[in-house]
Amino acid sequence: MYDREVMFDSEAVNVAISHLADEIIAEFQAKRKCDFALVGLYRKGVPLAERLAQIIEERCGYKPCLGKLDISMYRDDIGTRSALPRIRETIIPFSVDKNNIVLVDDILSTGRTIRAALDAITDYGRPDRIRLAVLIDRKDGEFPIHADYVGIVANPPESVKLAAEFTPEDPTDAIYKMQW
Amino acid sequence: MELKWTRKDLLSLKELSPEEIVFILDTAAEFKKVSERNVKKVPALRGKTVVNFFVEPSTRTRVSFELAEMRLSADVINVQASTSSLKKGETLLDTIKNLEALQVDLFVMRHSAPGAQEFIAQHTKCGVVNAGDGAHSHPTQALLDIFTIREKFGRINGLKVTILGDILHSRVARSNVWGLLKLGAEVTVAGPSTVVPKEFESIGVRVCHNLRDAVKDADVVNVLRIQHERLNASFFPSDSEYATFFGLTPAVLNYMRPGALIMHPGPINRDVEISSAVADGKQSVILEQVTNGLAVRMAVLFLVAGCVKK
Repeated sequence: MYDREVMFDSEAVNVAISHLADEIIAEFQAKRKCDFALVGLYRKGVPLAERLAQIIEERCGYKPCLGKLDISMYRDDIGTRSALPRIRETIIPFSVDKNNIVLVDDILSTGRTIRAALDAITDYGRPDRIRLAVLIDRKDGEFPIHADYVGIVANPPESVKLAAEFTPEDPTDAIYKMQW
Repeated sequence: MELKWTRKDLLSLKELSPEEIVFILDTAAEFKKVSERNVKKVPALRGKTVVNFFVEPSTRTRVSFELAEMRLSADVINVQASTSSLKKGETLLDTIKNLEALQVDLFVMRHSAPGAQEFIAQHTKCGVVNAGDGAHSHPTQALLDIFTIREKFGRINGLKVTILGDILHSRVARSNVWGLLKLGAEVTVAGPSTVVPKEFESIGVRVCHNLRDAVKDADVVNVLRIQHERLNASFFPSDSEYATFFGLTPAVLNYMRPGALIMHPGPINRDVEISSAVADGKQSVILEQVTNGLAVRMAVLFLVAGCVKK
């Protein structure tokens, strides 16, 4: 059993998501490249990407393409687990070739998920650039993988697990910390 | 709590829960997409070695498994009984143990003796996928059949499925029956009474010896091949008599539901159990079954190889 408490409440999460959207818009407007796609990584990167797409549309008048990616087939720990969760639906409804892809995830921790996501997305085509947007960067990477856009930097001890929740699938926006 | 996959072997659909069957189908739906994109490969089984150990002959199932393994980036070894030391009298278990000593990871096995794969699974730390054991079980064939039906109808529950042909000697029929019943289909088995005994009612299916009765309300008709290699006695007078009374022809389609699916596990005996016009017609999904078979096998291999064997 573990204790769960709020680390960042809905106001803090909203400010962080808004900041992420601003950073993404700033880079692409500066490059005069308004064509980019957000690809949410399961599980919580998917609703986060949807929120970002909505905000970008409100602020800029255009909605970026939206994709969802499950990296189960690209993990580096296949064959080591005793139970496998269901693979979720990957939908990439746009061409990856020559595109600008922003991978979106809720929490950047070891970097292994992002490593797998890079291998996965490049099997769909050859993008012009790939950027990474995360809500929380834990700064405890095991791989040299760094986010381009970060909502909040949080560095709790390794024993503390973080979990994000987003409306509407969850009751409220929040980041929780959990300790055994 | 959401179901997670924990099995290291796939031996038969009989022991799977309905939720586990749906789990495999949902996984297969994702793997189908891999074969539809430019890079038809994922690194999931990179570094793993799979042995296709076929004691009974096969082209279609073996090629399908082999391609599934390659698309998962596995290394593949094919062992055919006819060219193996089984011919020199080596036991099945010794053969498997010798292969296991080469640090292989998974066996995909077809054998003429029912239960052979279950026996091997109990004696090896490698995973075992059953590609057919005698007339007992052929789980991946049933899974691809069910996947094809679900893709067309969006569900299995409540559908009327007729399996037509030599049910007695058919592992495809048995596996389909287990899988379809678990997912809520109404199943009819039909054919000559010599190969469709009444006793099958005890497993929850309707038994029918009249073709028209068997197919007129069916949403799906799955036609089985007359398996001469398994018929060691005379079960019906001749192929042409079988074709007359139980062959699926365009005339039979006329009194079936317009959108009914026609399926066949292959290979087909044209104009025996199914006429060419029906096999090649617009209600036939025989070739889609082949495509879906690849996706289902990729899913099964991924799941069983993905789990640690306890």
